[in-house]
Amino acid sequence: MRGAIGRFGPWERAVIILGMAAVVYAAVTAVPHVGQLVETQPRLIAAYLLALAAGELVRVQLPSGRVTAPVATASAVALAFTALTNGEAPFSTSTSAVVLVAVVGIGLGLAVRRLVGRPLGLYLSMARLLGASVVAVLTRAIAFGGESLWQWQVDLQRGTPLVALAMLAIAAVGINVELVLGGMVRAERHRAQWDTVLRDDLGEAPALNVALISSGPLVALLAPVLGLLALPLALVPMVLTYVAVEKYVANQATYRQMIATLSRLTEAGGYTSPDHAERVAELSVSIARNLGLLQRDVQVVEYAALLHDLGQIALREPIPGGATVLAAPGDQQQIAADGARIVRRAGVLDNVAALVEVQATPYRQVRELDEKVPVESRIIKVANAFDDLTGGSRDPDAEERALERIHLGLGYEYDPAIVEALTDVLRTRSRPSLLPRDG
Amino acid sequence: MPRRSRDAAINAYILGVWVAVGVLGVIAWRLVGLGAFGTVALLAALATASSWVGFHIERGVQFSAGHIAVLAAIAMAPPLGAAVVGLFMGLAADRRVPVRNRVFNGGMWALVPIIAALGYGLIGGSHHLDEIDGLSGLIFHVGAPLLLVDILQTVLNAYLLAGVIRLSNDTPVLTVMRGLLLGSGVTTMGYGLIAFLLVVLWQPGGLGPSSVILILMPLLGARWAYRQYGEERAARERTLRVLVAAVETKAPHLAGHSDRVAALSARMAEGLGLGPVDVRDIEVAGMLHDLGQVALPRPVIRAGDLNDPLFRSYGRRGANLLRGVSFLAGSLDGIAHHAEPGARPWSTEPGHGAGQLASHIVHVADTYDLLTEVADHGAPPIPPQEALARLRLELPAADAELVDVLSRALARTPPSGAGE
Repeated sequence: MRGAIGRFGPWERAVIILGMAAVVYAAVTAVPHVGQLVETQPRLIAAYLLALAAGELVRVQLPSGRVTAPVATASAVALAFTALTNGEAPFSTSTSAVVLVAVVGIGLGLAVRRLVGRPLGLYLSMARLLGASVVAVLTRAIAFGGESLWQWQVDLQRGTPLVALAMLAIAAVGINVELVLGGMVRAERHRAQWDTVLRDDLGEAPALNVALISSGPLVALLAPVLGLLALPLALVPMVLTYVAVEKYVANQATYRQMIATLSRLTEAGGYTSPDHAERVAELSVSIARNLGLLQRDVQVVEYAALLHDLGQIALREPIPGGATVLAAPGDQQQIAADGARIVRRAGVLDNVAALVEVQATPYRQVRELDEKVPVESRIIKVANAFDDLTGGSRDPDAEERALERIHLGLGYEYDPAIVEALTDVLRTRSRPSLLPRDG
Repeated sequence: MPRRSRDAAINAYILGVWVAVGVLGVIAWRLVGLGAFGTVALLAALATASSWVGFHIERGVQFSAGHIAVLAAIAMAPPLGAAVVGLFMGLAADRRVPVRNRVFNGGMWALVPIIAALGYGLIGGSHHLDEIDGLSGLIFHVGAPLLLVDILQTVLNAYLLAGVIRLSNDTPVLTVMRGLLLGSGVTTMGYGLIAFLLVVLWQPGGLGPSSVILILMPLLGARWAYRQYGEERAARERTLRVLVAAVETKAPHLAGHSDRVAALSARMAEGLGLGPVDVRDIEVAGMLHDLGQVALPRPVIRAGDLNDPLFRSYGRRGANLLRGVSFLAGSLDGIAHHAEPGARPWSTEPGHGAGQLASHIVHVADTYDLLTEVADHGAPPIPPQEALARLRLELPAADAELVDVLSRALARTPPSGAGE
C-alpha cells in the first residue's frame, strides 16, 4: 500500500486513504446485505452503476484547470438522496450500502479508464466518493426535527419546497467537500498556494457549481414521478451546461494560439531568438503561481509575457540576439511603449498592454519615486532578464551565472521578492517532473 | 416597391396577426374558457424576465427561458393563458427595439401559443397532470404532445417572421425560414424537454411554483459558459487587429490597406454568393495577406520588388506564421498564394476550393487597392475606373470575371475608408 501511494504528496495521500477507509467501512458493513439489495432493486442499482461509471469516463477540464466529472458527481448525490422511485421498491437501505453502490459504480468507471489507458486521477474519484458519502450520511443517518430527510420523503410521498431546499443545502455541502479536497490536492501537485487554488475553484464559476448542486436534487425529486427515466432526463440541462463549458475551454485554447502567434512575429523578423517569448511566458507563469496570483491574473501575465518583445518590430535594426536586457535603458522603454501601442490596437487587450508598457521600469523607481509598476510587470522583467542571460539554456551553470547577474541588480533593477520567487521556482523545476497528470 | 407602400403592407400584416389573435382568442375562450390565473401570472413574470435568463448560443441562435414558460403554460393553463405568457415574452424585448417591432412580436407570440395550445388539446395533451397515472400516461399525454407543439411553435414562429421580412426586403420566405430553422433543432428539443420536467416537477412532483427555481439553476451555468465563450470569441477576432498593427508598424506606407482589402474581399465573396464561413475566411485572408512582410528586412519591403525571391516569399511566410492557429486554417491558402494566384483553378461551388478562390479574390482586391489608394513605390494613385481597366487588361481571362465582381462590390461600398 505505502509503495503504491508513496509518490503522492501528503494531501493526496490523505484524500486517498480517507476514501479507502470509506470503501472498507462500506464493504465490511454492507456486504452482508448485498444479496437482498440486488434482489429487491436490480434495475435501480444497474441504472446508477451505469451512470456513475459513464460519469467517471466523461471528465471536463474547467478554465482554472480543475477537472470535474459532473455526471458522476450528480449521479452519486442523486443516489444518496433516492427514497421513492416510480415503478421500483423504496430504496430503504443503509447508508453504507448506498456508499457501496457508489464505490462499485466509480470503481467500474476507473477500471474502464485503466483499460483504455486514460489517466486515473484517483484522488478525484476519492474526493467525489467522500462528498457523496457526506450527502448519504446527512440524508439518511442525521435526523432533522426528529426525522431524517430520507424519512421525510417517504412520509410525504412526493416533494415539497422544504424537501427541495434541504436537498439543495445538503448537496451543496457534499459538492463543496469534493471541491475542497480536490483543490487541496491540486494546489499540492502544482506547488501553488492552497488558498489561491480554492479561491479560483470556488470563485471562477459559481453558476457552474449551482448547476451541479441542483442536478442531484432534480433527479431525486423527479424520480417519484418519472421513475428511473429521471436519471437521464434531469441530467440533460446540466450536461448542456458542461458542453458549453467544453466549447469555452476549447476556444480559450485557440485564443492562446493566437497570442502565441503574435509572439512569433518578432522571431520571424529575426528580432528575438526562437521560443524566447514562450520561455519567458512559462517562467513568468511559474513565478506568478509561486507568488499566489489568481488564475485570471496569471493568464494576463502569460499573455503579456508572450507579447513583451512585440515592440521590437518597430526597430530599424534588430538588437543582437534580441536580448533587451543588454539594450540601453532608453531603447528598452521605447520597445515597451511601441509594444503596448501595437497591443492596444486589439481594443480587448488593454490590461495586457498596460503590463507590457511598464515592463522595463527599474525597481528603484518603484521604491524611490513611488511609481506604480504592477507586480505582473515586475515578474516579466525578471523572467525576461533571466532568459536573456541564459539564452534559454537549462544548464545549471548558466542558470547559476544568470542568477548571479540578476542578484547584482537586486533592489536597484529587480524586485527582490520576485527574484526570490524565481530562485524558488528554479529549485523546484530542476527536479525531474514527478507530477502525474490530472484526470 | 416604394418605401411607403412597403410600410403600409407591413402595418397591414401586423394588423392581420392581431386580428387572428382576436378571432382565435374568442374561439379558445368559448371552447375552453379561462383559469389557472396564478400559474399564468407566475409564468408571465418568468417570460418577462427571460431577457436576463436567456443567452446567445451561436451567432443567431438564442436560448430564452420565455419559450419554456410558454410551453409550461400550454400544459398547465387554458390556451388564452398561454397566449398571455407569450404576449409578455414578445413585449419584453430590449428597450432599443422599435415600438412597431414590439407590437409585431407581441402579436406573434400571442398568436403562436394559442394555435399550439389548441393543437396540444387536439393531439391528446392533458391539462390534468395530477390525475395521470403511470409513466406512460405522462409521456403520451404530456411529454410527446409538448414536444410536438414545441416543434409546431418553432416552425410557425419562423413562418410569421419570414412573412414580415419578405415584405420589408423581398427575401423569399423559404430562404428566411431555412436560415431561422437551421441550427434551432437543439434549442427546440431543449425547450420541450425542460418544459416537460418543469410541469412534472410542478404538479405531480409536488413542488409547485418553486420548481421554476430548481429548473433554472442548471441553465444559469449554461448561460455563464456561453457568455464567456461569446466574449472570448469576440476578443479573439479583435486580436487579429494586433497583426494588422504589426504590419503597419513595419510598413507604414500600408496604413489602412489591410482593412480596405479585407472589406473589398468580403464584398466580392458575398457578391459571388458564398456562404458566411467562406466569406469570413476570405475577409481574414484579405486582412492578413501582408502579414509575412513583418518577417522581411525594411529595405526589401520598401523596394517591394516581386522579382526579388525574398520579397516574393512574404505570402508563404505569412501563412506559415499562422499555421498553428486552428481558427484561421481556412484563410491560409488565400494568404500564401494571393500575390501570384496564377492559373490555380477556382470555383464558387460550395466545397470546391474556397481557399484557391480566396487567393484570386485577395489578389484582385489587393492590386486594386495598391493602384488606387497606396502611393505604390513612387507611382501616384490612379482613379478607380482607370485601375479597373488596367486590371482587366493585365489579369488572365479567368480572373476578368472577378474584376466585374469587384466593380459591382465597389458600387455597393463607400469608395475608401471601408472596414472600420
